[in-house]
Amino acid sequence: MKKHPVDDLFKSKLSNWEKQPSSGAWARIAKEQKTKDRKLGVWVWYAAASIVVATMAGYLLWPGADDSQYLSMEKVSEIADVPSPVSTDTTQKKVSVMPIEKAVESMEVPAVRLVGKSEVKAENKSDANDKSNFYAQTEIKGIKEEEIAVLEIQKEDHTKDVKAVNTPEFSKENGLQTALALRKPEVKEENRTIVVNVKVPENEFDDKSKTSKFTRVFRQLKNARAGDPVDWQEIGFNPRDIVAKVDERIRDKEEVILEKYQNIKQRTKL
Amino acid sequence: MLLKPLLRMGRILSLFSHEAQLVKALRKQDPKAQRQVYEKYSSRMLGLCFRYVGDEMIAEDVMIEGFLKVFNKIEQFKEDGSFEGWIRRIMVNEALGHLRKQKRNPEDAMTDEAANIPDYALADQNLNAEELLNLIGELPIGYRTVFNLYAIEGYAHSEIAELMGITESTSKSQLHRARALLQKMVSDWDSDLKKKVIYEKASC
Repeated sequence: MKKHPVDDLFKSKLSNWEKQPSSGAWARIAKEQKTKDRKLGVWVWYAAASIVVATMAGYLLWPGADDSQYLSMEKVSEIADVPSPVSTDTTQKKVSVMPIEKAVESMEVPAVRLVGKSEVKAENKSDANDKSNFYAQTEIKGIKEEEIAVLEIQKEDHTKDVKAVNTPEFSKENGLQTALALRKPEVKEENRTIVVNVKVPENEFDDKSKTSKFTRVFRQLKNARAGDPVDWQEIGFNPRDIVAKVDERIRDKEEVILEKYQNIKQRTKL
Repeated sequence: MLLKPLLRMGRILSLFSHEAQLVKALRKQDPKAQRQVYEKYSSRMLGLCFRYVGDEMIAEDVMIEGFLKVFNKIEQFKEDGSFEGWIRRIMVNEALGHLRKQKRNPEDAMTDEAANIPDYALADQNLNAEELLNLIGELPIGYRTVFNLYAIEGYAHSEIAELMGITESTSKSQLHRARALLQKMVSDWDSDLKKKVIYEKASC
């Protein structure tokens, strides 16, 4: 397209016409650029600070090990119904199903006795602890009188051997007496120990499950940083185990492949 | 005395000899590269802005905004076109944006009228171009803008129509009228000059 002469005249003279800007123009540009950078910088710092605050708050407010311990203590009576891998729990069930006389006469008594023994040993270590006292009281409320009676009979059997088996009526009376005694704040140490032991292992198990995965992993991270041994069970997997398994599998497969390859070789030779 | 700043300027300019290098540095928001771009193009871009807005102060404001856009939107620059062409387009868009704003606020139009008074201080520097610029400055804003875009920047009517939010036929008719007015002005100016020359000759 042909250009108009007027267009040409103006274009040739004005297309690259220059005008010197004032000396302050660049300073204004630089200032604008700086303020933009500063604005960006401020936002970056705000973001960093908020992340730090969030992690700190999360760490402090997360239901950690300490809180969960107390929670579990309050819920002991409710938890009693929940099935658990602890051996004593199973004995409780059996006892509650059976009448007292039968339980005493039946063959299960010695088994219960054994459990009682181990429990007593375990409890001797922790002695008269306030917490265990609390456990004892709450636990006793949850259990029926009969059950306590049976437990008491077992205890009597353990200490006095054959007597309780011969006289079930006596043992029942004795059991009721001790059950009443257990309800009082001043409890005999022997009676207390039996019931407490029913709960202690369960509580330990409970604590582990209640602490969040985050806190457990964080604890192990702390250990790793301090150079302490890391409890891989807490984290949930052991990298060494996994690597070892994978290696074995690969080797097995390789061997299988090699065998197949050998077979093919032999066939082709034929 | 004058050598020192000149040498320093030379060192800055030599830092980025190729355009690709310069653009690469601009992408990293390198202040030296930005300075170099400003030194290289500012006077030309101020001239461009002045053609559109017709006022020195406003033209400088528009140019500064344009350079800020160049530095902040450097990521949008594609290597296939020329860098100067890209900067020019940004400056033209900035100038058009300013004119649009001015249209919305008629109070500011007064300053535009005042700006149409020829700047005699610059006249003796580049007389011919100054005179032509003054002629353009006397055109109504719509005519002036279309003429600038079509005749000097080389935009097509379809592009002008899109940029200014008008129809293509409006763009064409405005260009015709602008040309006619300028032609008349140029011929008047020529005859004035001739008269002047004749008068000077006669006086001698």
